[in-house]
Amino acid sequence: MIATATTTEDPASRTVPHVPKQESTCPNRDGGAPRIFRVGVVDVSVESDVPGIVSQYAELYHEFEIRTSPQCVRIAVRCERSRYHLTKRFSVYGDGERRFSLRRIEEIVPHVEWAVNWQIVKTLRPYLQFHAGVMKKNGLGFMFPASPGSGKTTLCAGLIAHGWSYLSDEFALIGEDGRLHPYPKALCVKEGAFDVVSHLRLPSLSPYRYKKGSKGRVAYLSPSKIGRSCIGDACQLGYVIFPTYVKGADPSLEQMSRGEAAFLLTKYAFNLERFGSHGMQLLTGAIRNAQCYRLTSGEIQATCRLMNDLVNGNAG
Amino acid sequence: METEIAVINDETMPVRREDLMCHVVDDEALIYDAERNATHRLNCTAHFIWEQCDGTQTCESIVRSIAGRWEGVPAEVKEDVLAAMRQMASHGLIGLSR
Repeated sequence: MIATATTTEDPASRTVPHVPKQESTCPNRDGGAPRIFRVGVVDVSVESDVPGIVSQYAELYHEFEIRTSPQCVRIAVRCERSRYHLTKRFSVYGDGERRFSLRRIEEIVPHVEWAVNWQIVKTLRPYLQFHAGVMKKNGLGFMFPASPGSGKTTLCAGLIAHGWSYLSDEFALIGEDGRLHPYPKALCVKEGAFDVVSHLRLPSLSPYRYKKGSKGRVAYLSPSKIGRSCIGDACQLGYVIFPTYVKGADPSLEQMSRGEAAFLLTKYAFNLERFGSHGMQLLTGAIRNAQCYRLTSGEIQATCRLMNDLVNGNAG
Repeated sequence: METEIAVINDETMPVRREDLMCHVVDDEALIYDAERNATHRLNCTAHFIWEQCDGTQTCESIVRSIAGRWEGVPAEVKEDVLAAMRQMASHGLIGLSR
């Protein structure tokens, strides 16, 4: 058969929110000094005039706090009055641009995280970025590209509990060196997975429950609590695995060609357009020695055992 | 994005777009179209056909090249080749001229 297939970047598959860009500028108010955190290759500074927000964020990332950064994503949270309704709103700014205007205080922290994601896509130029969970085992990187709701975060949490190292539950960052680089953000666990994650042998979820738009209630698993030893460093891509969660399914793997995997990966790229053909070169170079699979995931422990079997050469 | 294509027949001389970048992964090819921000995946046969589309060969000669490259190519391969070319043309991978 002579086969051709085509894809274009599908904005609908991104998690970065498509909120209309607003041109307002972050007001330069005096408040507490921003606190800065080095989350893998991403430096984030956070300041807020809403009490408790910076400390909640810092609880998630306290292990990563640094004093200064030459270049960081700047997040500011401001309590403002709506110009039209005179009601109190909470604005989240990313590098001076208002990204979100929120009504409820419990929406702020998830949207701070969301604003950081947004700024990463917009400004973290050295890296080819994909929407994927990233883990490391035996020195090799595992990329789990998937759409929202596919169970990436739960899978990452399960694998951490099985002794794997964590690089990210949302961003795969491929550098010019062809390696995966870490952005170990707090794992954002949706309400439907609270029980599953709570039963893993992991530190407890954040005590706060937040609202995150259409995703509903979420809680965070702090990378600080997981511990630095569980955070992976840069590594070669060893496996690309496209997970699909099917409730009640027996977990299974189906091998696929590298060409198909690279092709599918372009659907999960955030910034391929910016890199152009060089991005394809980086992608095909990174995947050249990787094994590629489709994963049907089911119950988390069984799925993690299957992944361990794959690593140990016992799968399938 | 697909475009309307002209009729394709034995005498058509397809020519691949020069601004497309081809990245070979194992025996498949990924063609990146920066202008449309689209990626196309070709299996090895489709890749071979695309490579042959240099503007100097007719469709008929490309079909002969395929028959010469792979043994046991069935007679109906010509229809498959023309169909593949139509698909490539509709996605802007090749242009068609007579």
